Amino acid sequence: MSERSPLVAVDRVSKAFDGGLVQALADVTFALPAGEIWAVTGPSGSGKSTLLNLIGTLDEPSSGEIRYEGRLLRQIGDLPAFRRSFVGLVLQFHHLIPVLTLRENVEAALLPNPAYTPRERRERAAELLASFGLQGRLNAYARQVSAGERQRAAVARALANDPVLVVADEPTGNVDSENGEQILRHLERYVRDAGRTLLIATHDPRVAAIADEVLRMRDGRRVDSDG
Amino acid sequence: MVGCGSLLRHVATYAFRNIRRTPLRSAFTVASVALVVMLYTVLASVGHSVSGELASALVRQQIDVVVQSRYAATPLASSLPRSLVEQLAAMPEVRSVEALAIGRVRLDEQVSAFVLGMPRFPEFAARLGLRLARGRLHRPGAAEMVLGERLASALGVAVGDALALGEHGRWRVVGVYSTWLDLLDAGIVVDLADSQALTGRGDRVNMLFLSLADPAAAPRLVERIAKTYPTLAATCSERLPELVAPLRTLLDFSRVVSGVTLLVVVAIMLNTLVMSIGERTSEIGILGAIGWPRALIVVALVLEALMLATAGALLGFGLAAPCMLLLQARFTSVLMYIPRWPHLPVLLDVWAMALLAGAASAIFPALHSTRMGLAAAIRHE
Repeated sequence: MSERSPLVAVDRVSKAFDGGLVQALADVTFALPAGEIWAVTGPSGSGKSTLLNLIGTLDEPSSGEIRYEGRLLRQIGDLPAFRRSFVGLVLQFHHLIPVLTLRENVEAALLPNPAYTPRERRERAAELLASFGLQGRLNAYARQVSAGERQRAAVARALANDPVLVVADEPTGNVDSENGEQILRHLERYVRDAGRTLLIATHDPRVAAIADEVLRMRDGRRVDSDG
Repeated sequence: MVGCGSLLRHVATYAFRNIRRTPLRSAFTVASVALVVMLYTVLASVGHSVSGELASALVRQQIDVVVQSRYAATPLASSLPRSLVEQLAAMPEVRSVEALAIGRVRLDEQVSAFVLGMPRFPEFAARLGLRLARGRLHRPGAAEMVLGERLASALGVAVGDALALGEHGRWRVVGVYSTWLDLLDAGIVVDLADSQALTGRGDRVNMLFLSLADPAAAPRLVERIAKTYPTLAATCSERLPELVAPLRTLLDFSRVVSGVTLLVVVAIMLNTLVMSIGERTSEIGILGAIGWPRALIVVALVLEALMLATAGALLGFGLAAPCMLLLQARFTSVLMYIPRWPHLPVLLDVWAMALLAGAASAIFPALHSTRMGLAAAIRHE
């Protein structure tokens, strides 16, 4: 376990659905240090996605607390602005907006960010997509590109605001190995070069190879850590 | 400002492309809204044509006060002795008084028309904005008449033709007049005495039009006439529609129709938006996940509704024109009530109503879909 102060501290977090009928997470505790890559593994239904949704601020725990650089979620005033600056989210399915081009999809993430002028937004989106090998696909819609290209564009969108933490839920689950390799390489480079943090849920053994820590889940509980 | 404009442009692009995403549904929504707006436009245009244009015409022609019988529901039912002309003209504020006899005669089984009797056609016609388009003026007592351009066109009658006026035999059309006022354009102008004979009113007239030396004195004069002549109803010309019961009813009816229109448009739009926004719940969750504030998402969804509503309003207003032409061709008996074109200010009414209905119908599904937790929204199918 790293000795650096945690970027995200998860303290006895539980999450239940359907009025307590489904216990998706139970008493999960860990501290994710800044600048590391952590993998979350486990069989389907083990609570990986629920955990990532909670850390990605998409959902709230039923009990327990999550702190971001020491702050509780409820203490954060402007949650959308926090999401933009702090969390970059990659889901298993690309979830690109179908009526927007790849460039516009990346721009959409930058749109509410006052730090960017319209021109800077366009340039940043083009630059990011080019870094994923999509420079020839800027004006294509999601339906016009391959599954791998869609997922690469989704990762580019997640990195658009240069987030402190990237939360990726099986980002290589729906793409071929070549695209999966490229996505992983890019995420690893982003974390290592920029000093960012990656929490990645996966079944992919290649991810474990680049992770600083592997968090194993089963039936909503943390069962092991081999970091 | 540049950032804000660019933000709005992006959001508008997103909204517009969402409309194109389900073209058939959007087209049906626009068509449904257009149908309702078209009906409203026709009704409102008739209301405006009969009341608003008449009142503003009088004001424009410097007619300050209109007088009719106190208990007459319409000018047609009003009956005033001609001696009143001299009595009112003697009042110090009054510069001139014009008398008008109005009746209705049946031309055939389908068509009846207003007959306007004026004592001095050129002067009074000029006051009402009538101008001779073809032919010449009628001669008193010679069974001659001047037809309004719309009526002549609807009947297919030209200068030189003869027309049967009920049991009064055939009268010659010696001229055709035109005016910008559709109501008057569908009438027949004859000499005052001829009109009194045609409508069997003896030496009585229906309305008196007073021009004052100082138009600001009109309200005072109206009060004085009411006190001096209890059987008369005088009104400032801009308030003429309030004096005429059917016009009042028409205006009230128009207001009720506009309220119903608003509700129907809300129902149509709500149905569409609940479906289209509901289908995009997952996408809306993603927008929240990438940092769009709730307000921005709601603005995008409302903008989509405003675009649909605007398209429906413009199409409906545009369709009202052929609809009115069709009505004029089919129902010549009510020709005088149907204006030639939709009344332009109605466009502002329908647009405002459509925007209001669009925004009202988008707010509920937009707030509902953005209130959901983001994880649940993204998972939503």
